[in-house]
Amino acid sequence: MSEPLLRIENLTLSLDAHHHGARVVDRVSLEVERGGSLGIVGESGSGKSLTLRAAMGLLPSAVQVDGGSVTLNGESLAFSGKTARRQRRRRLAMVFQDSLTALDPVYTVGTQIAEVLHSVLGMPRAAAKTRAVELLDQVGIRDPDKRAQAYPHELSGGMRQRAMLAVALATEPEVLLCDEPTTALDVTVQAQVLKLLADLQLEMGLALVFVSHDLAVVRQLCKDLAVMYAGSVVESGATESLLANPLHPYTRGLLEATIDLDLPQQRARPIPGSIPEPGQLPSGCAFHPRCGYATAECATTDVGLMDLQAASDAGGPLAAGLPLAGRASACLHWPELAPR
Amino acid sequence: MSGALEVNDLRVTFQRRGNDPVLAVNGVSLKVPAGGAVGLVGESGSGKTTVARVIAGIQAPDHGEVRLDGELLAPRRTKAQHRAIQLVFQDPYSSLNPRRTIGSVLRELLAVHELAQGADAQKRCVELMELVGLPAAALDRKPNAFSGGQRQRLAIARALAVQPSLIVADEPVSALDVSIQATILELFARLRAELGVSLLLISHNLAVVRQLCEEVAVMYMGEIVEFGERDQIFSAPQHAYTRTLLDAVPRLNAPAVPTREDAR
Repeated sequence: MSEPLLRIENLTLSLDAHHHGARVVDRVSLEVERGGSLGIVGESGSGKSLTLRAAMGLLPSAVQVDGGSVTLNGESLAFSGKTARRQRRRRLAMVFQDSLTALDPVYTVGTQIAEVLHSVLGMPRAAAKTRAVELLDQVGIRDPDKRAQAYPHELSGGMRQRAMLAVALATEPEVLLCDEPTTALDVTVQAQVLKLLADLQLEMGLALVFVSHDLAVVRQLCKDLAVMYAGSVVESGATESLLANPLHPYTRGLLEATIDLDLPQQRARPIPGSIPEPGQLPSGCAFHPRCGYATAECATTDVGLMDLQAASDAGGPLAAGLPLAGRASACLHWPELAPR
Repeated sequence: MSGALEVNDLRVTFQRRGNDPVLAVNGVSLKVPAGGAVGLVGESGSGKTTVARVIAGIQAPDHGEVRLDGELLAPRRTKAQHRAIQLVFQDPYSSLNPRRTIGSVLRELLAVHELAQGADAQKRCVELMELVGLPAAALDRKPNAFSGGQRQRLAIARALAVQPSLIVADEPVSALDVSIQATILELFARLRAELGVSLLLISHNLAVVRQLCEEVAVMYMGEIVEFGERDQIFSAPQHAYTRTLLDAVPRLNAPAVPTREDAR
């Protein structure tokens, strides 16, 4: 197996003292290889966006790093400050959910792209202008010459999202971090943007990390998947295998709660209860109060994310006929969820 | 049972300074039977929200009429006519007054519409919280104390406070987590069954409409391009645009997005 390009190890984040010091991300480890694609799925408040922001060195000032590391190609990255920016420059880029606030309202999109090319790559201004138009063309904006002169508010939501992508891709980064870039879009425009991302990933050999609350969206784009709940990864593995046979009750709950066109007449079933507030996590497994599989043991024991292949090899419970390579779950009762 | 909506030949144009006027809604006719649920789907800019605003009496049409249970509703509505049709908006973060407690908002509504005062009003507020699945303690709190899904429940409680016969819900779940969407749709289904209120559900996502509505209207560029029973729309869509919308819905079992590479 090749060395991962981006690796997050044991990342632990908490709010500062003004905000009760609550832990918001707890020992999260994730990795993505060159050209790979990782989806991070969870509800609002699961810590998925903060994990992404830590990787980008863009944590809000109220969040502090208690431990863990982010490495890019083996080099350890700082979480904030000048070093953090220098290390990530050209190599990591990020796109956000809200393109209207992510783009500067007082500059045309062409100017914004050219500025990145000039200041980061040192490209002469005239050449940067020409290249900006090329980039807009590459992200599928028609009439790129004309659109380069438009201000963000003059573009539709889908077009702005493409323009933001052009800004992010201007420096030809190795890793593209996406924080719900299609959530605010209509389904038709979302489908177009997802297709664009898939194309660009392939053409540029980008490593993609895609955060979303929608399993059906992540499924279309990402080979690997990590499911987060209340600040921790509760299940991870190859997307196809994980969605075909979820081995954590939370993942199963998310799947059943998804309003899907392919469920014939069957209603989506919500997960009972709601996600705990930071600082008020239940004891043991954080999901146990909402879980149909929970036993007394779950209220006291948090087993953490277990490598299921290793657990199985070590003489633990077996899941008949289910390949477990690369699968991990934080559920004590995972064998009960496996198909029989 | 009441709440039968009839919309006939609506037309709305918007004037733009220095530009040609936009024909946002062009000849839209629509019926929601009493106690029924109809879905109105289309992309941003298709005119579906403008139709909702005309129905709710917020926007005056250039042409056309809105009738509720046979009664013609003029653009200037009486208080009782306003009461009969209530809106639920997409964004529960901006549609609730952040400075007021939920209880004070509801009590004011009950007073303005002369529905309940004093102890009766308090009792009615508690009932409303029960109806949308929130604790009575929620009445003493402000919107910022609630999550997105809870806020949408509060917005629904506010709509129900005045006992409307029709609720127009404009993208009520698209700002919410996928995992919460199902709970809100379930709430609408229960309210229809318990209260007999009619529903016009507006969404860009056909999967959402399919969960709740018996009939579906598909809007494109200001016009209704297809209207039919749910099953017919989903199993045998007639209009090319309906098929485009259906294909765009992300599915759990669909193959991965085809890339340019695959096409070669």
